[in-house]
Amino acid sequence: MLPQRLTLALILAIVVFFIAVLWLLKNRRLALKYTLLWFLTAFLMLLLVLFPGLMNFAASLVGIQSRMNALYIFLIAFLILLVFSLTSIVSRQTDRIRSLAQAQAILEKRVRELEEETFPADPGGSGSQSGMTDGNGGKTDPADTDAGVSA
Amino acid sequence: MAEKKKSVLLLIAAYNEEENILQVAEEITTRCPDADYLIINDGSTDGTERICREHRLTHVRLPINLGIGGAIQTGYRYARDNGYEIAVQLDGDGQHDPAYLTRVLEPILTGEADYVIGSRFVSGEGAGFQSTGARRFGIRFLSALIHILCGVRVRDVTSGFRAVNRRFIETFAENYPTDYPEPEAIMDAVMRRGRIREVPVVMRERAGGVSSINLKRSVYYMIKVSLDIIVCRISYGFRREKRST
Repeated sequence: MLPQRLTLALILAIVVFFIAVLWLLKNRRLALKYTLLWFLTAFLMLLLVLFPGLMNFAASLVGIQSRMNALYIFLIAFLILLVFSLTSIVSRQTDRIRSLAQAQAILEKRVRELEEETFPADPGGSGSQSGMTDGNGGKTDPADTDAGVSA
Repeated sequence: MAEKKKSVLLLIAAYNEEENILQVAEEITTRCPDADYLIINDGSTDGTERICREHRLTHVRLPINLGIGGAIQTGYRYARDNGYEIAVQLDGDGQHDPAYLTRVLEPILTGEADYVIGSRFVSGEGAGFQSTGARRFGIRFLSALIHILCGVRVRDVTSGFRAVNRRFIETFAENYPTDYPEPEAIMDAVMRRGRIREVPVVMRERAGGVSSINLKRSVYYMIKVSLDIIVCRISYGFRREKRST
C-alpha cells in the first residue's frame, strides 16, 4: 500500500488534471475526441492510485519483477503511443493544409482576374490590359460564385 | 487571343526566383507561343510576386511554402480544372531550355508515352550542364534502385523537366509526392502502368539565385528518397492498377 499522504497528494494531482482538461474543453481549446483520451488516462491513474495492487498484477502478467519498473515501462509505452498518434495527426493535417493552400491559390488567381475584368480602372493594375488575362476568370459561371458565397 | 483554348500548359514552380522568373517567362512566351504557362509562386519571400504582378505573368500564389512537390501539384490541379491535355513542368531557375519543349512533347502527342522526362544523360545531344560528380553518383544510385524495384530504366531520375498527358495530370492532381518528388513521381507513374520515355535535353547552369539542394541536405535527400521509392514499391505491390489502355 502507498502511504496515505502520498495517496492523497496523487489523488489531488489527478483531480487538478481532470479540472484542467475540463477547463480546456469548456474553452474549446481541446477537441472532444482528444479529451476522451485524457479522461481515460486520468481514470486509469486514479485506479492505480486507489488500488496499487493492480500494478503487481500487471507486472506479473508481462513477467516484470518490480512493480515500479513495470510502471515506468507502461508509462513510456503509453507516451510513445501518444507521440506516435500525434505524428500521424500532424501528417494528416499537413496533407489537408497543403490541399487547402493549393485550392486557395487557384481561387485567388480567379478572383484576381475577375476583379481585373470587372474593375479595369483599378489603380492597383494597369487597367488597359485587362483583356490580356488568359480568360479562365471570365468563364466563371454565376452558379459557381453563388455556391462559394453560401458555403 | 484569350478565348482560343490551348491544350499544353507549362508549369513553372518558383520559390524566391526574383532574379530569374521574368527571364524564364519571357523566354517561354516567345519560344513557345502555342502553350499557356502558369507560374506557381511557392510562398516566396522575395520580390517574385511583385514581378509577376507588375509584368502580368500568369501565376498563382501559394499562401505558404509547400515545397516543390506541393507547388507542382497546384499546377496539376489547375491543369485538371482547366481542361489541359498536356502539362509540362519546368524549373523556375532557367535551367531548362524551352527550345526542347517539342522534343519532350512529341512522345505524348504521338501517344507513345504517358510521362516523358527530359534527361541530361541520354545520348543524342552534347554535354551541357551535367551536374557535379557526387550528385551524378546519387542520381545513378537512385536510377539503379528504381531499375531493380520495377524494371524500368530511367537515367536522369531527378530531372525536373517533364511532360505528362491528361491521364497523369488527373493522377498527379489527386496525389503527388512531397518534399523531393521527382524520383518518387517516376515510381508512382511506373506502378500505375504509365509508359515512361526519356528524351535527351541539354540543361544550363542556373543563371542566378541559389539551388535548393546543398551538401548538408544531400544525405537526408538520399535516405528519404530511397525510402520513398521502396515504400512506394511495397504499397503498390498489393494493389497494382489495371492497365487502362
